[in-house]
Amino acid sequence: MNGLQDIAIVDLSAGSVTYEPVTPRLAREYIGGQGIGAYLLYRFVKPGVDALSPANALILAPGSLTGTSIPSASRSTFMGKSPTDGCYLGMSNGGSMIQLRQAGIDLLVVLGRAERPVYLEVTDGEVRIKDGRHLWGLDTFETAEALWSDLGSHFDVAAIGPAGENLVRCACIIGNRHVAWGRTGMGAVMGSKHLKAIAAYGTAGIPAAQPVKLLGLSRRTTRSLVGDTKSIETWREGGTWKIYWDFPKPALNPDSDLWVQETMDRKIEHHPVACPGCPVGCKHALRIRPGYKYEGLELTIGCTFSTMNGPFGLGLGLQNIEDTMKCGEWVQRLGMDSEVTAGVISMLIEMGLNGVIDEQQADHLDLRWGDHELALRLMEKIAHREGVGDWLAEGVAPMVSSLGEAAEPYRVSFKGMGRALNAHAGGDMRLGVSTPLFAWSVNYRGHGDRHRYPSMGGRPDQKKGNVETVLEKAPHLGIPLEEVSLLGEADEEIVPAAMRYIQAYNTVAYALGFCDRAVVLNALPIDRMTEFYNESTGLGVTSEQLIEAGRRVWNLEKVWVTMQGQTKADDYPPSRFFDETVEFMRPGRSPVEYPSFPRETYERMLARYYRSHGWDPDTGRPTTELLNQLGLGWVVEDYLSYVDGIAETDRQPELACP
Amino acid sequence: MPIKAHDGPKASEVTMGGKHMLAISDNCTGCQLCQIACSWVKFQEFNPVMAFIDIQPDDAQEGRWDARFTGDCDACGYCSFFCHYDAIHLTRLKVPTRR
Repeated sequence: MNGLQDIAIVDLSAGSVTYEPVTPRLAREYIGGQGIGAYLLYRFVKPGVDALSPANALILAPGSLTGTSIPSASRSTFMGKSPTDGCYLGMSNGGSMIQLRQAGIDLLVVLGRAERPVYLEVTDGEVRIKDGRHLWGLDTFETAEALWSDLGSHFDVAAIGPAGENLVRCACIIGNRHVAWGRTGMGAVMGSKHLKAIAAYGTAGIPAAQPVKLLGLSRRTTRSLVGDTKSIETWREGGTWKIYWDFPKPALNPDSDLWVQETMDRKIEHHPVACPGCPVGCKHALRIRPGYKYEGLELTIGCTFSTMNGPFGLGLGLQNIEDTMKCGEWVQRLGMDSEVTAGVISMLIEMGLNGVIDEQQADHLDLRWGDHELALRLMEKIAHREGVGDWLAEGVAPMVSSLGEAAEPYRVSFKGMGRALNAHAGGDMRLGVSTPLFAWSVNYRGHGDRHRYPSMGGRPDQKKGNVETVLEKAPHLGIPLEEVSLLGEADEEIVPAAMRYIQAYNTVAYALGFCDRAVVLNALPIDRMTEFYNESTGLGVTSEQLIEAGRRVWNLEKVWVTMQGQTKADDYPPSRFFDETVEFMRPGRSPVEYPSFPRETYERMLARYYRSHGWDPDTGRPTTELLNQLGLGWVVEDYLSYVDGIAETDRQPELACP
Repeated sequence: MPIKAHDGPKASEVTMGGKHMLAISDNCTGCQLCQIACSWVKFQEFNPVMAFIDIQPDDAQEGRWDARFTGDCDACGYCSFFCHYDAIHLTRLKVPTRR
């Protein structure tokens, strides 16, 4: 008995559910989770479909090791064509929807559109489409509570809020009241299908080919993972709040109490929360202590930084933690991505302060930094598409195109997804050249993408020696040692050249369901992942075959996004990174001004990145030779007919107005 | 469909076979690794539902958990090896030896 289960295909238009097995061949070639999800996406979503039409698919893909004893393998991904950037994918998150695998379903594909609101109940190998009219209109927390009340609190629930119902393009899906499948607007895709929620619970248990070995290896790996006691303590004490403490931040609100270390303990009672199977415990249950604003407010979140302090504290310049926590709670309830929502609000404020829009266009709101009441009002307007909110709900590109050239300097977006300029320095290449900063621009889904471990390069004041890092990590990532010397020596060479290997390794990790935290992946060299995969599935693949499968998935995704219209022009960071200097601060130190990033250097890096993959350096497209070599010959005919059929001018670069 | 395989009285302490097991709910983070390990040892499957330790959300406080052993727990202690949050303690009791 192996760990391969069924794919459930739900057609909401027809009201039917069919099942097909995950075959050993499919698992060998595409691994599982996001890998098989990419295969299904290619199969079900044809080029040029409207992301919010019934022709789009919504795919829920837990990792193929999710739900077992393997430490930190608890991630699942929602995938589909994104209404935010018109291209690709969704986001993964940990801790929710492992019950889908416990219920005997490895992947769930939702097609079509229901006539009236429905939700899906998944129990022990069966998916039922149920009337969800009583849930429509509820926020994400209320929806989870209503379903727990109806079905039992043992169900995993993934739900959309008003934003998803109203097809807000940054709508996300919230799992079990606290984890978000953010960015990319998968909540709007779910809303367009009139699908309010998915609830899953299983009693069958997850089979494994060699469970005794799997359990022993899990125990040894867990021990080595928690052996990094300093990292574990930091994650449990404050999560991403403390992890990003020393990271450079734009100097919008240097006096905010967010940057006083004791604030969290003084104002907030907090307790670590873990995803199923994870010994790290980086999520937090927060409650504001008595005597402070919003006292008693409770919020459980996976990422304290990306849900509260980053987008609202830094991005909108709020002055205290209570206000940022209220904004974090509100954005979760409405079911919108915190980073993208703060991004459009930030752009509105910046344009208002610089006279690009007038009072009437801003609904006569007093646009200014540091006003959380303004943020809460705008979030309500966006989620319900009222007034200026209807405009913001469409995202950054329509905002720019409706205002013309005057708005372009205020755009901050990756793959069309807005982001507050001040949110933090992640992805801002003016700080230097590093794998995380480069990854945001060249991946398929924009900022927040996580195919970036291990971190190499960085700020000039943080040089660690990248050649040494690559040499040290080569066996970990599955880079053949003879290829290491070909990567180069300067950051501008190594970072783009190493991305191909980094993306293949991280794709394997994601397809298996592993978390992307460095503390986790440090304990998981590719050989260890292969052992886990073989003991779970009994397929007997080698590490080289697994890495090759990761590369195959990455290239299949590249073919798919290309056929959906993504071009080389989408692989650039926001143009203001090339045009403006920026001042960053770190708590307790003087602000430092960083220069704009040289465009010529970026062009060279991009060409190096494409060459490393074996793609055409001028267009950034995979070659047919490469696709055949990777076993993707079956896509070549469709791919070539698409590529031959389009003119370069069909799609404008992201840097210009679409 | 059974919600739990082991409904019935549960306790935060079990003493059996010269071993004492103690579950400290305040330290629990809900990772369920103890349940996954237990279900394997007892039933050879990764199935938290079958585990002899029950982890339920604490209704009184968000993000907290209530960890208790079911009536079937025989204090084998295996779950404690998988808890990295100090929420399950295993103590081997001193057994008087015959001179």
